[in-house]
Amino acid sequence: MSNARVSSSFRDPSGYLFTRNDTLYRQVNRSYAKAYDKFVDSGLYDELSTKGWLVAHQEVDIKADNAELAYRILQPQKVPFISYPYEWSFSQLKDAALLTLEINKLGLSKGMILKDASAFNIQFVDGKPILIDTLSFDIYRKGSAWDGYRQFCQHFLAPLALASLVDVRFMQLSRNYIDGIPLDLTSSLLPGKTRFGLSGLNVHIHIHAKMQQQYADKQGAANNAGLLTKDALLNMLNGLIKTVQSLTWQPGGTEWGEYYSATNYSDDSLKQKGELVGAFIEKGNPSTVWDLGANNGLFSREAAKRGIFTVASDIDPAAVEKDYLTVRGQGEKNLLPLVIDLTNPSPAIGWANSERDSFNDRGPVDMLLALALIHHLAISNNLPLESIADYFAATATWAVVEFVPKSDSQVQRLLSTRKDIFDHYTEEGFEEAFTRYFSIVEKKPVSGSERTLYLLKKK
Amino acid sequence: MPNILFKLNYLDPGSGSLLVQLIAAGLVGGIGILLKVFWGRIKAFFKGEKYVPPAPESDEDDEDEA
Repeated sequence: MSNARVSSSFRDPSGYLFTRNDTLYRQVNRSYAKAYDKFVDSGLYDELSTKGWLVAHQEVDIKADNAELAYRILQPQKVPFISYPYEWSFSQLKDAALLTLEINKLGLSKGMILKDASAFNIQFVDGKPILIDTLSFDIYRKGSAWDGYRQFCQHFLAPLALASLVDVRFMQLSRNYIDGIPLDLTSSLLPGKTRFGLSGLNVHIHIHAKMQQQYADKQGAANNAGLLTKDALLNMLNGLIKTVQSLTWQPGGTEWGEYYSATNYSDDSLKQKGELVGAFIEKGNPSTVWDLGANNGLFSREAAKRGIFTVASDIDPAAVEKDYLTVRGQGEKNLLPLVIDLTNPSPAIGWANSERDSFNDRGPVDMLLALALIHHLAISNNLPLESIADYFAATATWAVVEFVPKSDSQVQRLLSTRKDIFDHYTEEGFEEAFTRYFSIVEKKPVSGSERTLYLLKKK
Repeated sequence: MPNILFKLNYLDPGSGSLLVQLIAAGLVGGIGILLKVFWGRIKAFFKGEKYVPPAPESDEDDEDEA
């Protein structure tokens, strides 16, 4: 019997996550018994899980490691892939923020309140945000404020405001600040106009930052007893919802957002390429796929529509935003768009570098798709083909790789402004590098281009 | 009645962050609450009745445990 406490599960004394024989469990501690009972008895759990707002669980009868502490053991439904807020597109973070606030309102109607508001507690399943921390609820006490408010502003409001009003690349700042972007930093970066008006940012960011400074290391004044009625708290939550809703970002103007319309692909050859990719996927028969450099997920859907769970990652926040909006709009399943820069993927962060996994640690995966990607890695990023093959072999059993030769107009574009130092960048060089690990199962020309599509299987 | 700063939780909510909620709740909800109160008074005035303030909300969720 192997037990391992999940390394990110240490902050909250109400319980913790552990794995036993590859199954994930959540222990509810006795200290949390009263809140847990109310969470279930009030109907809050049922309503949340029925709405798909909270991951469902089963109470299981297995022996706890520390029986004197344990009150219940839960087996939560497994989430196919754990992603982090700094990997989400704007609307993913916005939807996660709104879900957190709606859950808190529903909790209040049942006499409970969220005791934290960590963006890491939200995951995406089938295009929808879902809360995964069952122990996030506390019994609401009359007159009390929201303990998770600071965290909400740092984890959600700050990056959304910065992305919306300054630059979308500020979404990445959450990677540096595991407990959310500091409000004084956010306050100094936001445009001056946000200090005025009714957007809510004046209070939630600017005044909030000032108050934090003023009350740092101080006990708060003792005369606020009961001032925050439940109605007032609900008003504040409704205000926060309006503030979040007012923050918008229009994808466009970035590198790849218009890729397919800007390239010389005709609709017909895109369709044929899709069919070819689909046929290769069926031959590999994977249960998980990572599409690297997925753009707006056009070819990721060849896997997802076959019922295969697919991560569609791309460096461009606009392409990922479009992909997510399509997934959400069409109610598509099995597809998770994420913003990942493959030349600098998410590192492991947090305490002992083990709270949040690196992108690679969340693999390996059955199959990689690398379509129209190799030339960017090899030529724009100077990566030797051997290094690319090393990485692919360490990450997946199967790979569908498109080789884009130097004569291709897209490669010519990359080479037009720099010296061609890539003598090894040929179809022969590509095959030599990849056949060190992979065997070539199939190789087909991509119609209407000089490109070749390979189906590779690890030796 | 518990203080809004009364309860200790695993997450440090921050004194400043608790207090700013009073402002946030007041700013956003203030007008609504005022309207609600005065609507009762206005209605009473036109009906020629004496205004009786609504009974305070019951303490349903108050679970005091030290």
